[in-house]
Amino acid sequence: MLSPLAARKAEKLGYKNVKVYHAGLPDWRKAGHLVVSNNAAIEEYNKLDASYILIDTRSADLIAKGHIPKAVSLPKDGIDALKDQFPKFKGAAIILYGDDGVSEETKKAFHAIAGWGYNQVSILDKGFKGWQSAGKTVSTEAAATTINYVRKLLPGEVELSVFKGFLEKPSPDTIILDVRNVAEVNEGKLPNTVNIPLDELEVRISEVPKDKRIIVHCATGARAEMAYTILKNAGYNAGYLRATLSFDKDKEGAYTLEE
Amino acid sequence: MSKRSLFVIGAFSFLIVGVFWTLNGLAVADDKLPAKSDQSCLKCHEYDKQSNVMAGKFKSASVKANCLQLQIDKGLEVITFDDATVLKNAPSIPEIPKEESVKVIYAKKDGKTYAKEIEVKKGIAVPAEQLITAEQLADLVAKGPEKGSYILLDSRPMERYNEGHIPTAVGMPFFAFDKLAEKLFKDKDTLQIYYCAGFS
Repeated sequence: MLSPLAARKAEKLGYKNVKVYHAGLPDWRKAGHLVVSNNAAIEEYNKLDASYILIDTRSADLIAKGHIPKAVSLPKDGIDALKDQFPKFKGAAIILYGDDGVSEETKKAFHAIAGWGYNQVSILDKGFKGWQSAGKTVSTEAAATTINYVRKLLPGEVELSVFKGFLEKPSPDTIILDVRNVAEVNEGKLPNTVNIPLDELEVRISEVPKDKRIIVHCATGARAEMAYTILKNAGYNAGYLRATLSFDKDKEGAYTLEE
Repeated sequence: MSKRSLFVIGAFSFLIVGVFWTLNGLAVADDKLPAKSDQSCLKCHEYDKQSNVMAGKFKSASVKANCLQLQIDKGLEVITFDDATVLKNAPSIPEIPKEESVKVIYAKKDGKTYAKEIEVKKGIAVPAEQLITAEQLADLVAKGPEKGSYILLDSRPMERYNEGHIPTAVGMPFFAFDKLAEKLFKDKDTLQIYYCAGFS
């Protein structure tokens, strides 16, 4: 919503030829156009210890001579060979680079990855040369050949494996709270869980013991996050699961939990 | 009318007004809940001087639980709604864009924080003749700023620009507009095109 304000400001300052691309970057991506990033993005991610995927699209010879740290080399058969290693999280930051800016290889990989639904993919605007000539660290170690992306947890978020651990081996200090509706619970429920629908949680909060850790789940994570907020605001030691839960209709008690 | 009867009428009406005032005051006091507002909203609105108002950024909503989540500064508020909740400037609650500024008039209902009214911040209208499409912009970008004689400006914060922008764009965060205008603009007539993260 900032661009119309900026345009209005420019007009007030006397600039006469002002336009607004109101639909902005999401529309630009949707129309299938390229998006570029710069060195500062990689530095910022490193500083924040954020997760990102960096793919070097140059030839094996050039990569061996030096590449940007943490880069994964593009397989000879192209980006499709890496597809299985991409995370489920479509908002993952993905940066592709060539030798000096946008190349045929980077373009091809960009369109493929965007086509898989990733909405945070970009091409490094000045490529490896731009990185090197800016005096940034260059790695001469063998570049990785596999993507190892671990999504960083949000505040309160509990890792799926930890959650599954509690399901299998209940802890006396931890309660797993299911905040789905009664109708959903009747379709299937996880073992060792307590149900209080989210819209009743505030009123029934006294039923939740204060001296235990509460981990909340629902069907997707959306309501669980809200319940986490309610519990945290009420002084609880709480966490929540962001995962999709479904039950197998044909098999009693069978369920799938995936990120 | 004697002075005395005037006095009596006067005193009586005082009493009646007084009783009404007190009753009224009690009823309102019962309903008056403190305003909670994100700092960003207080730049233009005096929500801190109003009651029963919550203003912040829309985070998420669940139709299954009739709940929505609002970010107010660093905290989150969970607010319930129902069919009686009045919604302004959005087709439905789940369709409110994430991070959009929202004002809620709230009350306590059955012990829960309940939204009587949800008002989504109105977008700023851009005159049709000022709009440019992706296609028109792509043609210009293909030519480049010199041949296409334009300057493309990204109004989002610099971190967002760094991690992904339209080719040939220059980062010009809205809050640094005045500082950057002198540096970036050479004349008054060159085509300036502004964009950001869209309508949300």
